[in-house]
Amino acid sequence: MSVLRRAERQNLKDMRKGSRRAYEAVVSQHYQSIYSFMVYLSRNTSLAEDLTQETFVSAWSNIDNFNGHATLKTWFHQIAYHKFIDSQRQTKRETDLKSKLNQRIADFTETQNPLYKLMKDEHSILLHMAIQKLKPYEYLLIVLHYFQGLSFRQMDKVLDEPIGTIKWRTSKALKKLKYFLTDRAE
Amino acid sequence: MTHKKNKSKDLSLKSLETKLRLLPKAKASQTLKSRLFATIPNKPIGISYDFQLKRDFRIWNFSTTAAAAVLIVAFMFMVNYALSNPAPISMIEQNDTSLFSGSNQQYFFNDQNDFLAAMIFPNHSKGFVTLTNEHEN
Repeated sequence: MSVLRRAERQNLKDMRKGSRRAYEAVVSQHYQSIYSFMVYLSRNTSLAEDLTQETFVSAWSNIDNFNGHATLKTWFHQIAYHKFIDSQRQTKRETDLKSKLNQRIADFTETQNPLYKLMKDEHSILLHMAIQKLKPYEYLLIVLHYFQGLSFRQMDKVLDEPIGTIKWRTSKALKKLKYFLTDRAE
Repeated sequence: MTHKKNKSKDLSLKSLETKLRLLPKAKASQTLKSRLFATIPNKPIGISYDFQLKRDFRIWNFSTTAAAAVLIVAFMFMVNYALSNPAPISMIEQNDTSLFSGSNQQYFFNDQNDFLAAMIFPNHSKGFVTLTNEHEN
């Protein structure tokens, strides 16, 4: 069953016919969200740009197989997430190779994180630092739900996990965040 | 210190959720947008053969299921009608009292063909089943 809104369905139809305007409308609507998602995951602006481009290229080549089972937003996030995972596997292979060759790997400091530079006040900085302490999967859940604005049902499609598990783990991550913040304040 | 402690106790989960949603997000540059526009394919992709097959299969599946459901309902209706209106017995069975006439009481014909054969060939005993006559006993 299709969950697309009428405007999205029309856009999809036009894209399949080859309408450039429809493609541009979809890019304009979603590229900011996908880029920011990639920045949250990769913590690197140039890698985030590359991954965003790969996401859209992959979406264009699979547009005819998309049957409207999810909204375009969810679908793009699903592709973006898998692109990031693939890039991490690639990076790990390169890192393992470097360590085998006894090359020093540059330390990553939090101040190099492009998101850190966006924080204007102390509260935001504290919250940002607390989020970075979460486990990778918990961090991902917080990013998807609170930063990307995806519902639990949409997250279920992106992560391919039961919706109950996602809800429970997101709640657990939030409580952990609260603990980090209150513990720091005391 | 006390002020900070009180402040931390005020941090409910709801307020934390609100703060998270209000954190600033990274903004993409215009060059990224141009790069993405450049990836737009020139030719229309069209519907793939696989997608067409799947779509046609779904339509065929639905039509077959609907036709089967109609046939089953029609069959059940016919069976129900047949059971409530049994077929009338044949004229021969209804009107043939000779089977129970005095002289022929002891005989019961297996079927009507044998009855006709007995009429034509009276000495031929094929198909006759003898019943015990209680009166004779």
